[in-house]
This record gives sequence, structure tokens and C-alpha cells, in this order.
Amino acid sequence: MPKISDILKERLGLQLLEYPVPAHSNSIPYSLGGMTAASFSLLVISGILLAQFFVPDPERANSSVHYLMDQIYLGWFLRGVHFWAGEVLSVTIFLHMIRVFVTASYKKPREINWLVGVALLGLMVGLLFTGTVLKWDQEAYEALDHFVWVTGEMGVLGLPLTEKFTPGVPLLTRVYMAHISLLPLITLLALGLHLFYVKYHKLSPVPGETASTDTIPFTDHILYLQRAGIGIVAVIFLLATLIAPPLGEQPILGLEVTKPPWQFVWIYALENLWVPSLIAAPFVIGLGLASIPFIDRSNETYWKRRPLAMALLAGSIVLLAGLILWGSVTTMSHTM
Amino acid sequence: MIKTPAMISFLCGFAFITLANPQFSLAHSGHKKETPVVIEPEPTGPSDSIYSIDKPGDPESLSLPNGLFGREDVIVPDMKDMAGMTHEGHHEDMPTVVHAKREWNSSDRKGYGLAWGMTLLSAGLFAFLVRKPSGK
Repeated sequence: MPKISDILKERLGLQLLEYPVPAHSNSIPYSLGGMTAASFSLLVISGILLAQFFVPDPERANSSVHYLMDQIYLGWFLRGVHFWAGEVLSVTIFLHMIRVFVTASYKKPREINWLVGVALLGLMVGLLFTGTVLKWDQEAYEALDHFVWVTGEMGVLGLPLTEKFTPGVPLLTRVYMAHISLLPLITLLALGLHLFYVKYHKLSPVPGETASTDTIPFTDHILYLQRAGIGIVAVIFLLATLIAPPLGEQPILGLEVTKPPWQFVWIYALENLWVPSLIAAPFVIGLGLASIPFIDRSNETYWKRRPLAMALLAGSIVLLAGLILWGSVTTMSHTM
Repeated sequence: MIKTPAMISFLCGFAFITLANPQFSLAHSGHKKETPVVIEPEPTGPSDSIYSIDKPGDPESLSLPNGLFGREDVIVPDMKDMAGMTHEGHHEDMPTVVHAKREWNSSDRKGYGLAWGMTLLSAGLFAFLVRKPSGK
């Protein structure tokens, strides 16, 4: 009598997933990408549900979020899950990038997948930013106001991102469209490409080794990722149950009194030093990240034998942490 | 095994402490009133319809005033001479803004028990999967 699992395996072709992968894939550092994907999945599911209650109009967006939080059964939990999934994703995607850098997984022949990963990071930042704007409180308004200033400074290049491009349509409505359709669609395509290249080039070997000798079936790795994913979901649920995300009242136009979320507060600090850094910093960082595999061409992958790369990484982390801390305590002292 | 520095472990710990503490809200300050605000959504009128004819200059127009988000409006007229002052400085005519921040959820929230149920269920499932031997 064949087992149900064997029947399903044969019908669904699941045996194709039993190809070998390096044994070290079943570890937390090599599962950070999977954890990020788990958070992203939760964001998609909770986002679809949230969209049923959101009114993407500047006059009613904020009140619709308040209504969801206070009047809809589990509405507060739903928004909490979406918010905390974004927070957890911000951390895991950052740690995933650090792991890839430390293990030199961006080196030949995986340069293109590093670029796809950088693009995914940019898309996630875009999703995070547009999501921040949608609640349409003072912080959201000021974030969009800064964005509009940046697009204005970009001239013709920034025109499609301005209100003048589509007269009669509030910019908030277009931000909503970008958040729920345009950016997620591109992200899913890029994510598919990212996974394709992981499969095509195989998981990078342990640093210092040329090829992985110990292997496990990929289905074992899926089970490990499933476990990690459930763990991430449990953490997000716990945070959503305990702590409500910030939500202010309808914004007062013309004021600039809030600070951005911690993921963006470093650029707030930079802006305090030099206003055009709002435009320059994202380009410099993006270009810097994209150029890494084309600058670091050596075959060395063990981190102890890459002192320059490790110093660059440590310096970047210290600089970022310093800017975040400084941005959180400083007050804006310029006028634009 | 994988040779990675202790930096990742440190960052994991730092990130958890940062995220888990609602008082350490890097992006916010001030306080938010504790009683939940109950705001009924306004009824949708014909002028709100996407099919309504948009008349520039009409107060009901969906068009945002020209330059609503432009830099001219960021500094309200009485703030234009405030160069060099901090944005959180006091000004007689400046409207007050209640800063939003993270706050503990109250047990009065609708579905609070169910939320705890789902949390415990997911934690239990995670514990079960951790105890289960890999590959079974």
C-alpha cells in the first residue's frame, strides 16, 4: 500500500526537489534570505487584507487607518503584523547582505545575482518608504514632502514621480498604487530571478573551500526554511500582539517636526549636514553596492584573509549605526 | 562549519533589543493620547467619486493645490525667517503636532485574545518543528 506522501510526490513531481545542496545551507546565516522571503510573504498576505480597509485619498486615508485600528475586529493586529513584518524584513535583509559579503558569495560567477540582490534591496526600501507614507499622518506627509523635493531637484527625470505628471490625481493615491501593485510585481519578478540564479550557480561553498563536499537533499533545506519561517511568523505575531505601530493624526501641511522611521533616520542625519545628500546618498550607496563584485576580483573568500573588505564592512556598519543614533537624538537645524 | 565573525550574532541581538522596546522609538518623540480615537469614515458623496468632473479651483476638486508639496509650502509664511532655528523650537503661532510613537497594546483591543491564540499557536508549531528531527 503506497503512502499518501509517495502518491503526492509522484503526481506533483516533488521528487524533482530532492536535488543535492550543500549541507551548510541548513544554518541560520544561510537561511537569512529565506527568513526575508517569509517576512515578505507575510507582508503580501497582510497587505492584501489591509487594502480592503484603506481609502487612498488624502482626506480620508488617515481616518481609515484609525478606523481599522479601533473599530475593525483584529484590525489593529493585522496592521501590527504588516508593520512588524516590515521591521523584521529590514533586519533580515540587512543581515543577509552582510552574510553574502562576509562569505564573498558575490564573487565569480555570482556577480549578476548580487546585482539582482541590490535591486531587491532598493525595491524593499521603496516598499518601506511608500508604506510609511500611506498612513498619512505628520511623519508620512513630511516623508512625501522630502520625496517631492528630491523629484523636483531631479528635473525631467523626476517628473513622472511628481503631482504635475498626473493632474487631478493625488500623489498619495499614486503612492498607494506603487505600494500595492507596481513595486510588489517588480519585486516578485526580481525575487524569482534571484532564486533562479541561486539554483543555477548553486549555493556558494563554505568560505575558504572551493567546492561543497557534504550535501543534503533540497527538501531537507525546505523543511529547515519552513521551521525558520514559522519562527519568524511567531516573532512577528508576538510583536504585533504586544506593541502597536505608531499612528498620528491628520497631518498639518507646511510643518516639519517629525523624524523618519529608524530605517531612514540615517539620511535625516545626513540631510542635517548637507541637504543635497538626500539625492546624493541613495545614488552613492546604490552605485557602491553594485560595484563591489567588479572591484573585488580576487578569488579569496575566507574573511580573515580579506582584511580590506572586512574593514570596509565594519566601517560601513559603524558609520550607519552612528548616523542612526545621531539622527535619533539630533534636531533638524536647517531650512531647505 | 561556517566561519563568520561574531558580528552577525551581535547585530541580531542589537536588532532585537532595538525592535522589541517601544520606548526606544528612534524615529519618534513626544507622546500620544492613550484613549483610542474612534473616527467614523465620512460618507462618500458624489464629489468624491473618481467619475466626478474635476474642476480646478473648486474646493471639492480632487486636484491638490498647485505646489501643495512643493518646497514653498514646507516653511509656512511665519517660519520663513527661522533659518538656523531648530524645527522643534517654540514659536507662538506654530500649530502643535502630537507625535506618534509605538505603544503597548491594551487588552481592550478587539480580538486581543484571538491574537494571543494565533501567537501561541505559531510559537507551538515552531517548537514542534524544532523538536522534530530534520528530514522526517
